[in-house]
Amino acid sequence: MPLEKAGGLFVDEFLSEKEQIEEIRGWWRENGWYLIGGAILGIAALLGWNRYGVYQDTQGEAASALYVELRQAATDDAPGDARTLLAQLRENHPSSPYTDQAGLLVAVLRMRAGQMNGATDELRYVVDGTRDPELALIARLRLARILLHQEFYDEALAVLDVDPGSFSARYNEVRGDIYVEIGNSVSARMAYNAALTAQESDLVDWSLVQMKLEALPIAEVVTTEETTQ
Amino acid sequence: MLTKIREGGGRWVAGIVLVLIAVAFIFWGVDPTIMGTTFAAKVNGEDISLGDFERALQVQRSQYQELYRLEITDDLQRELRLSVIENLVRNRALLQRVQSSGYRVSDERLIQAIQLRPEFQVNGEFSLDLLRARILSQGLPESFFLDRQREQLALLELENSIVTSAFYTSSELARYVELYSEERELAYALFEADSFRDQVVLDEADTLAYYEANKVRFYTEESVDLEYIEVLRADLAEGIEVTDEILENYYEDEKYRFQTEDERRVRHILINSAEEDSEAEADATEILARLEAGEDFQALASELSEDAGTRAQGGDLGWLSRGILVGPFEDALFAMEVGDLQGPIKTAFGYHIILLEEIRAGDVQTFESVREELIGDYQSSRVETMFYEQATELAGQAFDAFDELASVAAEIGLPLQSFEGLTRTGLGSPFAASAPVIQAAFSPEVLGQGENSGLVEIADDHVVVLRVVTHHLPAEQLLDAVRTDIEEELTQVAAETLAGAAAEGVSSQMERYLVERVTGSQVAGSEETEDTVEGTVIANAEEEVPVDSGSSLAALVIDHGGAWTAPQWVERIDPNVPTAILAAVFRAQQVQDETVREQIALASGDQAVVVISGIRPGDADSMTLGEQRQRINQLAEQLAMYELTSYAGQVRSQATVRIPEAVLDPLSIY
Repeated sequence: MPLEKAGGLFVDEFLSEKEQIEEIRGWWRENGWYLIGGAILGIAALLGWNRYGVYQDTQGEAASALYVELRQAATDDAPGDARTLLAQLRENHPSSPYTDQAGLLVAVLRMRAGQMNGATDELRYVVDGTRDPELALIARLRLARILLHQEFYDEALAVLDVDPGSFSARYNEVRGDIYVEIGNSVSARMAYNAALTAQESDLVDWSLVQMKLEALPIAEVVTTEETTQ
Repeated sequence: MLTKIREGGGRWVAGIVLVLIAVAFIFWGVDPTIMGTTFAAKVNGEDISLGDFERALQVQRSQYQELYRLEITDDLQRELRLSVIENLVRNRALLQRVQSSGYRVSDERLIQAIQLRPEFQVNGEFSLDLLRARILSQGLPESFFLDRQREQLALLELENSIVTSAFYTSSELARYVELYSEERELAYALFEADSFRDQVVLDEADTLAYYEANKVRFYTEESVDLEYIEVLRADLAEGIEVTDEILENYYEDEKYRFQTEDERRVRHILINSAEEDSEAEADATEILARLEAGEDFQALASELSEDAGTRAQGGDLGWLSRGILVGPFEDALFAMEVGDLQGPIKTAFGYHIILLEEIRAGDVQTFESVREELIGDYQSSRVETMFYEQATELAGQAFDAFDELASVAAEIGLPLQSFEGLTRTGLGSPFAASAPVIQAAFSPEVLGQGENSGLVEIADDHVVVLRVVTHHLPAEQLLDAVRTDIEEELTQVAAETLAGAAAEGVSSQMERYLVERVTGSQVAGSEETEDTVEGTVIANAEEEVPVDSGSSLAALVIDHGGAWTAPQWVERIDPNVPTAILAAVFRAQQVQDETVREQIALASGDQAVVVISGIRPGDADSMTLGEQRQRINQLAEQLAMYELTSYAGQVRSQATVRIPEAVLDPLSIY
C-alpha cells in the first residue's frame, strides 16, 4: 500500500484502480457469505410470510363459505342444517369471526323455535369463544336480554357486569329493564338516567328510555325486601 | 466489521446509503413543507392520506353549506374538520379490525359484488369497460381499487351479520307497545294570555318603575359613524378612454390571437445517422436521384426510410407550421415551392429527403374586423389593472395619512362617503357584506386609536378604506323613546298573570265538579262507576255536589275566560292537543283510576288546567301477527344499528390514533 490508511471515505481516492478492485475483492471474501446468507434468510422469511398469508386467506374463505351456507339454511328455515354447519365451523375454524357470527345467528333461530336455553347456550359459547372483544360485548347484551325474558334476573345482571365501553347506554337500559322486573325502581331509575346521560346516549332509543323512566313508580314503593328473587 | 467497512468499502457504504436515501424518497415522498404533515391521521400506524381527507372535507363542506347556507366560521371549520377526520379514523379502525379478525372476501364474491353494482352496469348488464373507465377517472391503480372494494365488502359482511342475527323478544315488544301506544283520558281548560290583554290596565307608576329598574335593557346599541372611500370595479369601466392609437397598439400586442400560421404538408425519407457520414449521405443522394427519375415518393419512403414513425404512412409528417421542426429542416421546408423535392438535408437525426406537397397560407384578421372585440378586451383588461392600481394606491395613501381620509379622497379623486350608526350586528349596513367592515371598524386600531383601516375587501370587485368618526357607546334612552316597548312587555306579563289567576280559580273549584267521561270508555278496575247510566261513566264524585254533566264545568271555565275541551282519549301524539299539554299529561305520575288535576304553565305564557281521568296502556296482543312481526323486525334492526355503532365506537377508542394539529387548523396549508 503506497499510502497510509487514515480511514474515512476519501482515502480511496488515492488508490489506483487495481488496488481498489483488490480492496473490494478482499472485502467480499470476508463478508460475502454474510450477505448471501442474509439475503437467503430474508427471502425465506418473505416466502414463509406470504404462504402464511395465503393459508390465512384460504382458511378465512372456507369459513366464509360455510357461514354463507348457514345463512341460507336460516333463510330456508332449516335450523337442523344450520346447527350442523355451526358444529363444523366450531370444529374446523374455532377462531374465525364467521364461527362467532354463525353462533349469534343460530342463537336467534333457536330462540324463535322456543328453545330459550339453547339460545343462551349458543350466546354463552360466543361470549367465551370469540377473539373479538367488542363482538363479545354484543353477545353479552343479547344474552342478558334473553335471560331477562326467562326471568333469570340475577344471571342477566351478572352477564352485564363488565366494562361496556361505548355500549354503556344500551347496557344501562337493559339493566334498568331488569331492575324494573325485580321491582327495584331506585336502581332502575339510576340505570335509565345513566343511559340517558351517557356520552353514547344517541346509541339508545332515547324516547323509549325516557318513557320507561317516567313510568317508574314513585320512590316510596321500593323496600329492601324487593331485591330477593 | 464496521471499521472494515469504513476502511475498505468506504465508497460502497456511501453508495449504499445514498441508494437507501433515494429509495426512501421515492417511496415516501419528500415532505412538502418542513413544518407541515404528510398524513391526515395515523391509525394503528396506518396513514390516512391528506388527499382522502381533503376529498371527504370538501363533500362535507358543500353538504353543510347547502343545508345551512351560512358562512363557515373558523370554529365551525375546525369542528367540521374534526368530525370528518374522526369519521375517516373510525372507518379505518373498523376496516383494520375486520381484516385482523379474519373476515375474508374471496375473488369470486368480489367479482360477483362488483358486477351487481348499478354504477358499473349499462342497461342492467355489467360492463367491464365502464368499470375500467370509472377506475381510471378516479386516478387509482386497478389493484388498489379492488383492494378497497374487498375491504368494504368484508365490513359489509360484518354489518349484515349483526343485522341478520338481531332480535326483539316478545316481552320487549309487550313493554314497547305498552309505553308507546299508551292512551290517557284527558280534559283540559286552556287560558290564553292573549285573551286577557284587554283586561289589563297599566299604571303610569308601574311603567316608570319598570323603566327605572330595567334601564340597562333599553340602552341603545353601541355604534360607530364612519367615513370611507370605496373603489368599485363597476365604476371604473365608464372612465376608460379608448382612442384609435391605443387600440392599434393593443392590436399589435395581441396580434398573435388574430393570426393563423402558414402551414405546410410534408413527406420525408430519412437515412439515420447522427454524425456526418458520407456513406449515409451517398445513400440519400441515390434515393433523391431515383425520385427525380420519377419513382413514387410514397413507395420509396415505405421501402427505404429509416424513420419508424412515418415509414408506414409513406413518409407523411402531416401539416407543419414554423417552430416545430429542427432548424435546417425547417429552413429548407419554408424556402420550398409546392411539389419541390429537396435533399439530402442533414439534421441531428440523419439525412432527409423532403417533398413539399401542399401549402395552407396563414390568415390575419384585420384591425377593422376585430375592432369591437378589441374595445371590449381592452376595457376589461384595463379595468382589472386600474382596480388593483387604485386599490393599492388607496391603501398606501390611507396608511400614510394615518388618521384622516379627507386628503386621501382629494388626492385620489374619489368621494369621501359617510355612514352613521353601524352596529356590531351590522343593522342597516350599506355594504353588501358587512362582516369584514364591522371587523375593521371595531378593531382596536380603528376604534380605539382612531387610525385609518387597512384595505377592507367586501367582494372581489369592491374594496373600502374607512375610519371611525364618532363612537357611540351604549346609552340610556328617555322613557318616551321606549314607552311602547315597556308597555307591551308589561301588558304581556299582566295578561299572563291574569291567565294564571283564572286557571287557579278554575282549578280550585274544579274538584267540586265532576268530569264527564268519554262515552263507552272501558277503564279496567272502575267497578264503582259501573252503576251509572249506560254510556256515561262518572268518576270520583265528591260528596255533596250534584252530579254534573260537564256542561256547567265548561261554563265555569268559559266564565273565567278560558276554553274547555271535553274529555277524550289521547295518544302521545295528537295534532289537536298542544304538545306541551300532551307532554305534561304523559309525564304525570300514573295512578290508576284516580283523577289527576294539574295546572300547567305553557312556554307561550298561556295556562292550562288538565284533568286526567284514565290510563290505558298499549296492548301488543291487539296487534295482528303480521303487525307484530313487522314491528319486531323494525325494532330488532334498530337495536342492530345501535350495536354496530357502539361496536365501531369501541373499536375506534381502542385504536392508537394520531391526528396532527395542522390537520384541524383551518388556516394551515400543511
